[in-house]
Amino acid sequence: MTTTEAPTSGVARAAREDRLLVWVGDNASADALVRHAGQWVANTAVPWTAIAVQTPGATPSIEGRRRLLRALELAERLGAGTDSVAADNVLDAVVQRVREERATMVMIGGHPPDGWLDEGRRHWLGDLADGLSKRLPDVTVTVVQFPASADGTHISLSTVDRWRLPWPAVILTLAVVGLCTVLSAVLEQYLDAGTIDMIYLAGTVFVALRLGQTAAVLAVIGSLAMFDLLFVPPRWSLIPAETQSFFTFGVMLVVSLVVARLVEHARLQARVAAARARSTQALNELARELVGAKSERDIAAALTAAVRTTFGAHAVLLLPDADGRLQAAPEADDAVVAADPAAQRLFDDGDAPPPPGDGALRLLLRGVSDPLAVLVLHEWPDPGTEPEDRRLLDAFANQAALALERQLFERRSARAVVEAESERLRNTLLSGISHDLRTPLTTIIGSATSLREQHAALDDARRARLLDGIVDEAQRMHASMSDLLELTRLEEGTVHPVCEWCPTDELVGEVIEAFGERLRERQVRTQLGPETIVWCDSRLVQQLLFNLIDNALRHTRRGGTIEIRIEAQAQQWSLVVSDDGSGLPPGHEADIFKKFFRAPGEPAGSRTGLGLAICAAVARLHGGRIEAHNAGGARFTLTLPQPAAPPVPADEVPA
Amino acid sequence: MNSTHVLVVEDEAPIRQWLATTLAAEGHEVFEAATAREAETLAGNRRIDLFLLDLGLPDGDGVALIRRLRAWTRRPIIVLSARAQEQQKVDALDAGADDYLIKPLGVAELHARIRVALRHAAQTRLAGTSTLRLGALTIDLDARAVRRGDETVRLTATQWRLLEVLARHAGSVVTSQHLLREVWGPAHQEQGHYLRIYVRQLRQRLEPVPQRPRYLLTDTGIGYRLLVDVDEEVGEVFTSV
Repeated sequence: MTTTEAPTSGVARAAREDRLLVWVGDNASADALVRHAGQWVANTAVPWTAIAVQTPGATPSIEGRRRLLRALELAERLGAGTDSVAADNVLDAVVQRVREERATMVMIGGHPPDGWLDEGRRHWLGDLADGLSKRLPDVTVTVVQFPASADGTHISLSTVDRWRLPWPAVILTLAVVGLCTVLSAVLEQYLDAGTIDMIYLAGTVFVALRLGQTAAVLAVIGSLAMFDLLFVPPRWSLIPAETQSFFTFGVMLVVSLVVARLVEHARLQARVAAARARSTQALNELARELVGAKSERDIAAALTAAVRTTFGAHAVLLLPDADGRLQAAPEADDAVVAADPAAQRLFDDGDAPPPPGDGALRLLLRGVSDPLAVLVLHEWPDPGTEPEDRRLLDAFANQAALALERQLFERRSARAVVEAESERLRNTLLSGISHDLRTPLTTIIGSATSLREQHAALDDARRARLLDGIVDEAQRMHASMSDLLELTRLEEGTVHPVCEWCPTDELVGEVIEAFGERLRERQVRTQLGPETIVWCDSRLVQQLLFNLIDNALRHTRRGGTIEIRIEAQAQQWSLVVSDDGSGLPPGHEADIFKKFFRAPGEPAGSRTGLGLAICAAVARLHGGRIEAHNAGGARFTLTLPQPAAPPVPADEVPA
Repeated sequence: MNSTHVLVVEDEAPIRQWLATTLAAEGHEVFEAATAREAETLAGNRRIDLFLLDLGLPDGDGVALIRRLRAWTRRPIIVLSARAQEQQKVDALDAGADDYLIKPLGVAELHARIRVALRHAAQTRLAGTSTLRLGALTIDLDARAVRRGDETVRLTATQWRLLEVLARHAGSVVTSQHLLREVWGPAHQEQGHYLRIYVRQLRQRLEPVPQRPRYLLTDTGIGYRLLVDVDEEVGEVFTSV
């Protein structure tokens, strides 16, 4: 069924599953057709696609190509899917596309057939509509007629181009015919006339292969004339004696036209295939680059590089800063890119017509909800651009938009995770701190008020016990505070280890000394290696060792053993503190380094849950690691990197 | 000994009161200042034998106050400081403080440090005390000799220079930077391990048990000090971290 409607006619009712396909030709009303389709679609919410068809030989004029491109762009803006396909003819392409997309409606359009197509193709649009109706009986075909406009007289060059034959081709064709004639003259005495036909056929096929159908026709006419003139009696006369030669040349004409057509088709296919391959490869490369992109700068670099290598065009990706002002990505070649108000408008309003005479192409990269960036191409070679190129560019931009959006989401989710984590940490800290401070404070306040209020009722021994309690608990609070302060300093990055070569016996000896009486009831074994020196910040590592020994002390019984071992290797050294105590809570070997971690069932210790967290922080600050295992008790292993052996001051002879 | 005049410079009233109470109980006469300005006024008007100085003062930098005091007095200055502020302690010691105490602190430690500082001050005031005693060892700064009983302990030139600097500041903490500068010269201030190695060698020569030093003590992260004629109580106090 075919309906013809004026652009202003009423809107057809569209069912839910409707789908519209619009064929856009390179004629002056392409834009109007798309606009009309867009209007119609806006009222019916039918999904639609606009396609352009490239046919063999029909190289569109520059003007036509530009119009086509604009029409497709417009269609995209109006919500259509767009595509540009290569096919033998428009009818086949549209039919195939309709079947692929399961479209229920086709819209084609143009001026009334007076003067906008060349004379020979006057009813072409009508023929197309008829063809479509015939081959797609279930599809509604709508032909939109536009009144002839000022440029309606514009003759599409596509049909002219197809038959045009440049001068060199004419000369080459005539030369081939001449060559065939010479060859025939030489071979005439050996061959009969029917075989000489074959020589001309060969020449004509060659011309058809290389120079296309016009040249082939020219070759056939030339061959016919020469053959008739020279080899068919009566000689030197164009009047043929036999009708057979007419038949021969008729066949020749058909064959050469078929050959020319086939070749042309094959060439187009090859060109399209090559272009497709190039596009696919370029897209794949860009996609690969974008997957590896770690920042917006990387994305901008990948996109601009892809545009440069694929189109030879210089592009800049403008990204919004915190205030939404567009800025060139920092690695852009021209360090200072002047503010681009047009791009900014496009970014802010979503749709802004390009300023006239600018010549730059601006593409808005959109995310799901927000605009993300604007790609600016200076000197986009618009006139020479195939719709395919433009589609490839859009695909590039879409890829980059996806990557940018992914980046944005990643950043947002990372921020959310960090915030949740720091909130959790804050809560842990607060509850840990308040526990660690309130417990000793209870004793201190209780004991002190006892001493004040019940002084008379207390004997000396009780008073002494209360006083000891106050001092001990105050010390414990002090230890908690110190640990907390130290851990905070270590973690906030204000502490930088000042590494030196430290003699191991000194390193360990001083810490053991610091424990004094407390270690009297344990057997402490050290295995430090003679004259071994290790690379570390002695204050931090001694603090770590202090915490490890303190930990061992609390988890071993009287008479238990604590072993401290240091082993130095070329690139690293390790400190092992092991005991024969109760060991680590199974399954919590890594958790014990967390702040305020207490194993299930472990009584609230005399010290905070921060000692081992400090150890972990010290190891981290040194670029090393600390691990805990159960090995007949707890075993802690600190491993720190160290540089090559130190310069040792030259020993002197005692005076 | 006459009662010692101690100037307590501390802006926190409870701490100042406690210090005044415990020092008075120990028989010292105590002057109290809450600001650097008060401290300087008092120091200028009274005879002060020892300064007990908090580094965080409301009206100025404690380190600057030490420098101003050091411009005219050699009396011992003991600094009160928080645990975490290593650099502040080093600055104070380099500015001329003799020792430091980490808050919070107990009375035993407080009085022990004060006694050491006062004894050291008294010793250097006495004429001709160029001889220091470390248990069985004697260090004679004029003769540049160390003797254990009658036997001479042999030291290399560098070992002696190190011991000499420590001995001239006996009882006081000498920062690592200061020692490196004095012994090896300004070009070697980064060579911390030189210092460690030579301190070790000195301990092996001087200490009865080198692994558990009693005279040449390390102040982790700060520097070293040489304790002379140490008594038991002081020894105990100094070994606590």
